[in-house]
Amino acid sequence: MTWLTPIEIGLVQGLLMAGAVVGFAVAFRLFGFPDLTIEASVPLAAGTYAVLTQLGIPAAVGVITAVTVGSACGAMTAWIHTRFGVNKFLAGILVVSVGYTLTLRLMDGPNVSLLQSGSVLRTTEVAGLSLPERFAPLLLLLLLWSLITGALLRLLGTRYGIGLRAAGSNPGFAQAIGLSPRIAAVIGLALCNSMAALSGVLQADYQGFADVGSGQGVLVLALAAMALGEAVVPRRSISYFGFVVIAAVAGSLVYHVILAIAVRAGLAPTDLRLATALLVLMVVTGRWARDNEGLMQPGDLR
Amino acid sequence: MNQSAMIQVRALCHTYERWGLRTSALRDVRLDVRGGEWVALTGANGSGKSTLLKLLAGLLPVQTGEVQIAGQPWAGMPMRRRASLVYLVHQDPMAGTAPALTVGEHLALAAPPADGSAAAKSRELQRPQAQGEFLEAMKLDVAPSQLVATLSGGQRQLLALLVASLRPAPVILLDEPMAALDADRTEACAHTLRMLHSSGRTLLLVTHDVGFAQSSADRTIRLEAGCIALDQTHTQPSVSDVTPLRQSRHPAVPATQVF
Repeated sequence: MTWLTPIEIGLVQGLLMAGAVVGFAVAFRLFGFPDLTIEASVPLAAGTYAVLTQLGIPAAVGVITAVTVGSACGAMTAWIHTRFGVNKFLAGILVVSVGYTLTLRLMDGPNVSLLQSGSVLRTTEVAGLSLPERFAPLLLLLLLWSLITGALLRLLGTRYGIGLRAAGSNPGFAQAIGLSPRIAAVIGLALCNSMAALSGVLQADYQGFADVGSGQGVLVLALAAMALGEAVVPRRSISYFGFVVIAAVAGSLVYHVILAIAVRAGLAPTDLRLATALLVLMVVTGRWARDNEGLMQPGDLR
Repeated sequence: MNQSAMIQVRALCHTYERWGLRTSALRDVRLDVRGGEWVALTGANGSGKSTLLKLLAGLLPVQTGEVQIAGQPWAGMPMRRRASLVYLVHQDPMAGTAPALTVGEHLALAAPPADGSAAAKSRELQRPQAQGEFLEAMKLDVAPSQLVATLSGGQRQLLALLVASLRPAPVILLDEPMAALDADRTEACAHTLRMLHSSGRTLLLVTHDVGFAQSSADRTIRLEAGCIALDQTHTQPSVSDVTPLRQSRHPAVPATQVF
């Protein structure tokens, strides 16, 4: 039981943050955009949801509004980059700065408590079924991400999704066949940040508060989870975009379980970011060593 | 202007300016290409061939002069409309394909959205089986599920040509598509070009292979220092076919020079 608890905590945390990891990985790997915006869309969406919930607005409306606000952050980054030719990183940094101030203004302080409003994720009654209290959030999150991942994979496989990926992979090619790489970037980043925003909302709901600092560290977390996921998920027999999405979800779970176990084993929470950076470095150097032994897999895109 | 011409170019000049240095790439070019005609564009490196192609593809803005494609002014035309009229196959195989997409996804994306006569073919090419049959018929020995990043340069170039063949554009511009191909792939590429020509497309092919140009194209145009130095029709390959050109304002070489 001692070890089961950190695994449970890791799985729940992994599923809470899966949206941020999938959003980052899809933007980076499939839409060709190393997107820093998730560091703004996560706290801003959490803040929006918390403020609306405090005002007594139904949770569904709060979630939809918060996700829309998050996707607008992504669209803004892509628009600044494509409209004014601002570097992708700089465009992201600008929106992260704007998002930080907006979150503070919106919440009228650094954090907002949701403890009095109750948590949607801790609901134990769903459609007449009563869920065991201990596993309710885990089951609800599993169901939610199964649906969202399925919908995302379906979208990416349609002609429209192929177009979005084509624009990310080679904008010149996309333009030659009559697609607009600008519009594709805006739509692609809006999509990715809507998933990151959902992570922000879920985390706020589960923890019982929204904090302006919740975006800090999301990028390195997403990077670590993506790298881990790509190392553990076999890439044969699934499409490349399927591999990216599934590896991101799996990576988020594996990363958070490892972290929860490490904390249980005595790692100080203050050292988490150092441990994360070392983990990324370990995965990357491991991959480098493998590639340089001539064992690079045919599906490798690096 | 001749309304039956698919490509009409009048008094086209283009100058590159970098670090205060001006380089004239095209000088007073006048060109008419009929619908369905296959024109080979030859000339030494730096003679302006690629610049002309990029201008016709809309990748460079028209500075001075006039360009019309299918009777429509090129300047100010929306990108999507341009893409429905002209498709450019680049010299670099990496430029004409997307590495993170599969071969089949390229075919599915290249086939226009189902409308009118193209509907059946477009629907057909969304299925992996039909994609496989198409690839086999076009002599590209790869599976539709294969990721383009894993293809060789020659395979990618052939795929770029197949993408061009599936586009609805009546004008196909080709910038030395066979420069990096081995003998087998060159033959597959030439086969695709002949098929495009017989389907009534207008082809403008930049090539250094004068023999191939003379044996396959309807006409050869030679550029020298940004001017058209030679315009030769191949149906009656004799010296009398060599059309003396209107004297350029900047004649870099004698217009009557033959190769």
